[in-house]
Amino acid sequence: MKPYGNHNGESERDGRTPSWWRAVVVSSLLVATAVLYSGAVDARSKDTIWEGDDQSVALAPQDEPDAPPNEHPVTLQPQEIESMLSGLRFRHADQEEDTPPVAVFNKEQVKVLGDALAKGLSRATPSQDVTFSVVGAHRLAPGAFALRNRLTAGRAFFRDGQLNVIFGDIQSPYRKKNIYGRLEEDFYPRNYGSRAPSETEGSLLVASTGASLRDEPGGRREDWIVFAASGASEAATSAPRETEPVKSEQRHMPATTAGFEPAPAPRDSAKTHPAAAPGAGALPDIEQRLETLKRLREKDLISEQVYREKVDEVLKDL
Amino acid sequence: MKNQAVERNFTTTLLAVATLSILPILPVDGHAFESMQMGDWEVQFTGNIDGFLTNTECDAGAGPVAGGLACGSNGVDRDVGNIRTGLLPSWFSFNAKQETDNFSTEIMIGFQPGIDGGNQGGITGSPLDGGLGLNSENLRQVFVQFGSDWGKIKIGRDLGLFGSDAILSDMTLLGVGTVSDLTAGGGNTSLGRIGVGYMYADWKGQIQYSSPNWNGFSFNLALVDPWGLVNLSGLSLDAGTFAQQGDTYGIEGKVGYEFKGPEAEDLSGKIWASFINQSLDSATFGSEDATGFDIGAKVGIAGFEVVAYYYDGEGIGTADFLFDAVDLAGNARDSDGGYIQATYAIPGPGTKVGVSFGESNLDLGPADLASSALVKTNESIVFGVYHPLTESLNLVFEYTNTESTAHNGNQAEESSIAIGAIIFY
Repeated sequence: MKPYGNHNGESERDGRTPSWWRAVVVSSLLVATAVLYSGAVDARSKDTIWEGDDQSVALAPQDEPDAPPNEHPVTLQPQEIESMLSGLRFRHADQEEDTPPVAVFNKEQVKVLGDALAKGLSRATPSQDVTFSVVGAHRLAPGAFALRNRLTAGRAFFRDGQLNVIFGDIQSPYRKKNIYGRLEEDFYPRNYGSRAPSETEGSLLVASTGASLRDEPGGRREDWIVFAASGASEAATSAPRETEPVKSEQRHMPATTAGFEPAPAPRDSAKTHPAAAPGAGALPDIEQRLETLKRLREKDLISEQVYREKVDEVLKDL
Repeated sequence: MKNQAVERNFTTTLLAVATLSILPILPVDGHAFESMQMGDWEVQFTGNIDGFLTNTECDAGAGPVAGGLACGSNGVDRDVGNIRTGLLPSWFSFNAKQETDNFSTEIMIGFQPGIDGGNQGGITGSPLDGGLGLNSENLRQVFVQFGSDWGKIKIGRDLGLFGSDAILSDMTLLGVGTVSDLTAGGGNTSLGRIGVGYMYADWKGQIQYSSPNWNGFSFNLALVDPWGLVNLSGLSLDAGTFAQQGDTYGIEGKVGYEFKGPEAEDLSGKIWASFINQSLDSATFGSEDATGFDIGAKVGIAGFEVVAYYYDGEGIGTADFLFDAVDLAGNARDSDGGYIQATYAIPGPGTKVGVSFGESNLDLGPADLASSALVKTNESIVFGVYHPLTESLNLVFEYTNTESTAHNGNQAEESSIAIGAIIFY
């Protein structure tokens, strides 16, 4: 019970006459809601495959409207993609060629991308690429105490029986600011790479076993790597491999990808590649032949068309 | 005498502007601290340091505005110069995170020193510091957070949920905003737009659940340490005079949707709504409920960003939770407010220019007299320029005009210029 009070105990709102700015606030909220809704619809249409802390893997239109259609959807095994990505190395453009290259991805990123790229490639249409943007801690130097977070982004697609990966960012700067006790991304624009030749911004890929940098008439692309069909075909068995190591890895998948099962091989529309693992000793020979072809092409002793035909012939031997 | 003081302060400001204007305006490389791996833990030290020269002109008008936030509301005309901390106190946080088997554990401890002399542990300072007037500092943030696929649980002291996105979206977070009689002497912080557009979310002991992020949607729910009434105006009951019982908890919640495009220029935005509730039980006056809600939105594209925010409450008071929330008869007062803000980041140098307007209103309670000097409205307009000198370092210039109006018509006006810098590391 109130010991005193002038009437019904309600606060007086007589001083609360509507003012122009309240109308502006309400209108702004309504407009913002509409804009965000449309943006949300647009964002959903991009078909996000995986989202992490400032990271994503998503389906996106090819970066060039007149690009040849991709061979999507395609079924690749996550483990095979992991194997491809884990061998990727790069060095900075200002480093000497004898400087040992370092891994593009750390182990966690390889696991995440193995799953998410496999899932994305199995869902993409011929006019879509799978874009990725991942952040991870990398040691400042081998064995170093200090780490630094770096951003790697690019696009992947399957064509001519090969997995193509174009990088826009390779371990680019990334960090979070502490703003009022919140660690939030200090936003760096993502560069998902392009089929059109572009400046490589300080980072150069290094060809690895089973993979090569793309050669174009204008020269070798240091940001575009092509994984030979051997990797894809080995991985393209329709039945997932049920080995203990795989199970163990899946247990350690981050939350957003844990439990992801590789998509079953499409029965009609998806292009699948028969399992035909190269026999022991076959791979080095094929590598040698491919390298010979590459040297010939680099010296311009054979045309691009002949080079591609010969490469295809070699790869058919796998 | 006053004119001479104003002239002197103006000259000082011009000198400061001139000094900063000769600094290079093109961005240069900035280097952030990196993290360290210590066993399974990734350890980071983060935070910010800021400092501003402020010149504040306080006009008292015909009489005091009880609870007014414009400097001069206390009825005293004066001009105040300061080298001081802005809305963000300087910050030093220790953060460590461990992730094993899809389970993450994180700890955060942060302390916040001010650069000007002040009351130890408080936010306020003295206009004319004496010798040995050590700076103020406090510990706002200390918590452990753990979780997995199902979300995260936070236990400790951290920012409250109600009103949190309002202050985090406020452009004066990088500057000073309103100074007020409370913080005119410097100390640990200024007010920014606190109490002139939103309620301060404040730092609270809490147990908070945070949901996973479902394609941009998320929600939080927190059980909060119970708070007591504060009599800022001198015309309200406080926890003691209200005979407030402490056997209850506060509860706060927030739901939001956020998305951003892959490029900084793409459409990005956030919509949120939150609430706060705490019972006010008194052995003398009975029970009241302090309940408030808010809604806000932020949309940005191609360097433009607009923020719109509104809140409404009963018994929550104004400026901060339970400040002047009940009249002298123990009745809850109603309050509301909001702000709008528009900023534009100039392509190239990245300089952000912005303007914002907001107000907070406090109604009379049933026992208040119509001729009460209790604050009716605190409102302000802010013009700001925030230039990134490096990735980490920002130069700041702000002009803020704040007005406080009492229910009896008394008014006070504060004009403040702030120039300084803030670095995030």
